[in-house]
Amino acid sequence: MANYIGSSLKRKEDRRFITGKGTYTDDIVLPNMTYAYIVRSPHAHARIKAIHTDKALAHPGVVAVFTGKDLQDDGVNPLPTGWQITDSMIEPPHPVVAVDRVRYVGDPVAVVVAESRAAAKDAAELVEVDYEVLPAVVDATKAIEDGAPLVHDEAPNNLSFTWELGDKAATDEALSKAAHITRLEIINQRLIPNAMEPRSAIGDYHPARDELTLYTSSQNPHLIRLLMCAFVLGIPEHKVRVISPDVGGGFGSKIFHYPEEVIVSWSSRKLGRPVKWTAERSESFLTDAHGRDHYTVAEMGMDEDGTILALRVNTIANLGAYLSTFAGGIPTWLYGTLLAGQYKYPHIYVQTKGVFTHTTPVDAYRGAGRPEATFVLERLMDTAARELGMDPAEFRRKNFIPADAFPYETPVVLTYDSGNYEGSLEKAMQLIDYKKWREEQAKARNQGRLIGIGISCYIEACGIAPSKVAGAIGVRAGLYEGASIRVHPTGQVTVYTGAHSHGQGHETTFAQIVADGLGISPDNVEVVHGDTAQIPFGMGTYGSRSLAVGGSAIWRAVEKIREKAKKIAAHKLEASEDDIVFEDGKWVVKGTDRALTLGEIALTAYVPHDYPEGLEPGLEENSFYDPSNFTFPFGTHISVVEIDPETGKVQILRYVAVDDVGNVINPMIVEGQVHGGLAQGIGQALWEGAVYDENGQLLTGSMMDYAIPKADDLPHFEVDRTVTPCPHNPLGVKGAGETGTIASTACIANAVVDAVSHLGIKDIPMPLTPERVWRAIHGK
Amino acid sequence: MKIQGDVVLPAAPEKLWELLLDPQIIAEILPGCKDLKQTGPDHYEAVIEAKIGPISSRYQTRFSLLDQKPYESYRLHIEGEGKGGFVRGDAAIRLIPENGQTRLVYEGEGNVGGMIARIGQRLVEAAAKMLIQRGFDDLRKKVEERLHSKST
Amino acid sequence: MGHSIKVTVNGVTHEATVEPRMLLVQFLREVLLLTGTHIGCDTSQCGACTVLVDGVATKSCTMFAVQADGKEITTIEGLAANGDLHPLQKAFWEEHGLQCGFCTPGVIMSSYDFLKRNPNPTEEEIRHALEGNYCRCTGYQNIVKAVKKAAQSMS
Repeated sequence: MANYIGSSLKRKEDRRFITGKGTYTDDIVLPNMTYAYIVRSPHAHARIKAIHTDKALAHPGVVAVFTGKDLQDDGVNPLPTGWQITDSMIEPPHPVVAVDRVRYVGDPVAVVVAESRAAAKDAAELVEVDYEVLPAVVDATKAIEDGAPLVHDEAPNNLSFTWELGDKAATDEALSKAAHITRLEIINQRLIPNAMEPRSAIGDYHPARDELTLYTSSQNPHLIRLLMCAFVLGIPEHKVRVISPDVGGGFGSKIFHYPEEVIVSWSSRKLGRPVKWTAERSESFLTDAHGRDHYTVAEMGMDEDGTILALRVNTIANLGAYLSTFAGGIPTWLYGTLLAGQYKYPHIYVQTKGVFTHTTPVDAYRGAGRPEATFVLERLMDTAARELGMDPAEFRRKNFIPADAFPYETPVVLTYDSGNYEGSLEKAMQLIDYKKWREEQAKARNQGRLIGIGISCYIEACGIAPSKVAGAIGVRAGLYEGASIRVHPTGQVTVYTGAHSHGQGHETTFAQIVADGLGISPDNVEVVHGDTAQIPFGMGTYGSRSLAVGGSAIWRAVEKIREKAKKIAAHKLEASEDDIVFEDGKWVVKGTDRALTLGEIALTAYVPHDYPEGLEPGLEENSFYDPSNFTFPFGTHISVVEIDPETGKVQILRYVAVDDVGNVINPMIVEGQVHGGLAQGIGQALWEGAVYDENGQLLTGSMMDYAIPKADDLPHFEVDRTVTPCPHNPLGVKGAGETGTIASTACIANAVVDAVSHLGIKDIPMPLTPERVWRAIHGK
Repeated sequence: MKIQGDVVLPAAPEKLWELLLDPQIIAEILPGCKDLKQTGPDHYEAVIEAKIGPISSRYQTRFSLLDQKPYESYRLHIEGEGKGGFVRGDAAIRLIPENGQTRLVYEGEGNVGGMIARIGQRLVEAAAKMLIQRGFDDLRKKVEERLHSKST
Repeated sequence: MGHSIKVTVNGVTHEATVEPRMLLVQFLREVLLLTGTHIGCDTSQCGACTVLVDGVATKSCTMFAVQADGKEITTIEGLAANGDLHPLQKAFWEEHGLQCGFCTPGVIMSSYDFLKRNPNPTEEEIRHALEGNYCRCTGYQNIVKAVKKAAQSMS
């Protein structure tokens, strides 16, 4: 076995992308198609007094104009949220199109459907909405104050939930006895995901068959179908097909069920014609769910010799105007549970308040909760080490969970399955030559130069998630994955997976697994994803779950195919089933050279002229895999930065990432995932950040004002690995999509602060733009 | 967005007052103003065409001259909508006599929303200052013209 | 209202009547159905719509279709001559210079023009040349490697 697993096979999907033949949703043109343009609120908070649509309706080319009331009167329900955080969580309705109140700039108010995009857009300008503008609140820390404007009347103080985890009394007591307490106030700023493909959706209803096809740029087609059919439109699921074709990046922002998916589906049913909507980038800025946006006070207590005793974290999480699909779970279960990090200490208490504001809804963005947790913890580790006069690497080493302590149960409910934290720290320090850089740093300081070294040791819980655990923590779905393998009579194989690839290379990685599993070439394996009509069921791609959960489901189906093939081989080779083994890609009669390949077996499976009774024809298997635990990638990243004292500009001199993602199927793809993750994490540290004015206008609403990292902003990354296989899934894999983002934000922030700490600077809020760094250095 | 500044106009407050409230003058000095209509005492409607950076917009605006204390002060309130979003502004205007001339001091808040806020934000403040400056330059010219024509 | 234009795209001459406000990228995508050229932003930042206009890399959202009258356009679909991948396409494939693929056509077209002007670039020069093309997936490292490899194989 293992001809392909572990090799950097070129991606099967690339030919279509490099020749311009990919098919993204907006590329699809259907006969008789119409185009929707959405009129959106320019106000963060207002009462809709009246909507006048007559002028828009009279505009040439306009087919229909719908308002929120039209949808409501037709029985369209609000969008559901999929994660109930506490029993008392307040879940105000989230109308698909606003009816009487708008709650953020970008909230849909009306829909114009026309024969062309241009006509729809022109007519949208003719829709007149009378607003009574109301006061708005954008900052979550202000929104929970008494007297703040209310986003939803049913949520006093704008509070959706207060969630806590850990032993408060024990933590408070341990902190009260600590020899030293390190305290940080952290703003983890709001980010805007900006997948390069703007979201797009097409509803295509066939009245004669009463069937609806929804094409949507989603990471999660089956879940979208479930949510839309069962909760919003109340139509039978088997009459709806959701296709997510090529999708141009997601990073979390395309997991969620968005209003526009309902708008095009419902409009198409009304009009009997296909309806397409594609976001303009400025709509993406306003309406793609944003990420992060935490305000946190964190305190860590140590004894005299630097052993950590306890951690107390209080976070106010901005949820935006409505609860997006997974909104509640991100700043709670995916955040608080990660606060043990790589360290062994007995007491943690975390409390999160989820708060509504008049801003775009906030939900999972690459890393989702885990980068926020890592940032809190790793900033604390560096700050504490400095305050204790210890080297930050030494301080971490002192507090690591030792390699022989696994499985290790943290004070915040996770059980880490495996790990070797000392190993990855050692490797990263060697790669970057940590000692040499400390010497360089000292020399540089004498010359008035500012060099900083940043360490970030992270843990990630991914491979989301055991359904039992999901249920226990309020997820309103199971988080298994489905797969189906069909061996065709010629021995070619089609794999149907519920995971969805939007850049991750599943068509290649999954083909490598199946190729090795069945003794064929990956060229003979076709991976189908993103179509509910072809795939039994799936839970989509997010939380670095595709390989650990989806790949494992595929492996289970491979095992079932092998079992069936064994029966067929036994029959054809006239041997006992017990004597057939799968060896070197063939079904062999033990100890002989008599063997059959998959192709030979498959043909007989479909031409079973001589099959004995009880042996079923055909060669096709389904599997659903529910993981028994999360997977726990970990690693150490170290960076070296130099700051120009005159301008405050940060230059990254070195960036070393040592990750442990378990077994690796395709190293090239894993490295690519790490690079991309690093770019987004470094983007948060240095440049990115959503800015609202006090009235709720998004000021960073275009790529002119929101700083997405460019090629010449980023350094050459040095990426390496350690391999600690995951003990509980059949492939020993963990997940690699988010590690880079989780580790790198804190890594860079630590390096920047390290570069200026001798000037008495303890912290600089992100993004660490030249202006902010300069102000910190010059005390202005 | 805070807006403040002052301008010296070549006439005493008593002479200026009428001009400042004269719809025709307002129409002429309001940058991009088209089609000014009086809808009531001191209440007006106008179409304003504004171009900020890459975006040009037509705004249906309403404005009012409130809290008038003749020769001393008044408040200008403006709000409007257009395809680029909305504009709202409120400014307190004081007239301070200064050697037979008048120092007009304005202080206020302006808000814009929609496309201009998102895409043109960096330009809005600069553009607003420029438009206000242009408006007052025009006002000074008008004042000079009127006074000149009256004196001849 | 319509303007008649004659544009040669990937060697084929098209005559069409277009609205004056139609952008070149809309003409390519919606009239000619050459959907390999993508629209990633509305402010000419992202470069996903980059094509060659008379051999020069141009963001096709910055140009009206009527301005392309009489010009020769090459899009990503026209880069592989007779089905043989261009060295840039091969290099992007071999070096894993793409993930979701959405920015890729624009990046490749920009690189094509760049390598014509600078056939033997340094890493720094490549990074600088590509600052008008945003990629959210790759962190650019493998894009840079791919452009370098293409330069080597073309020289």
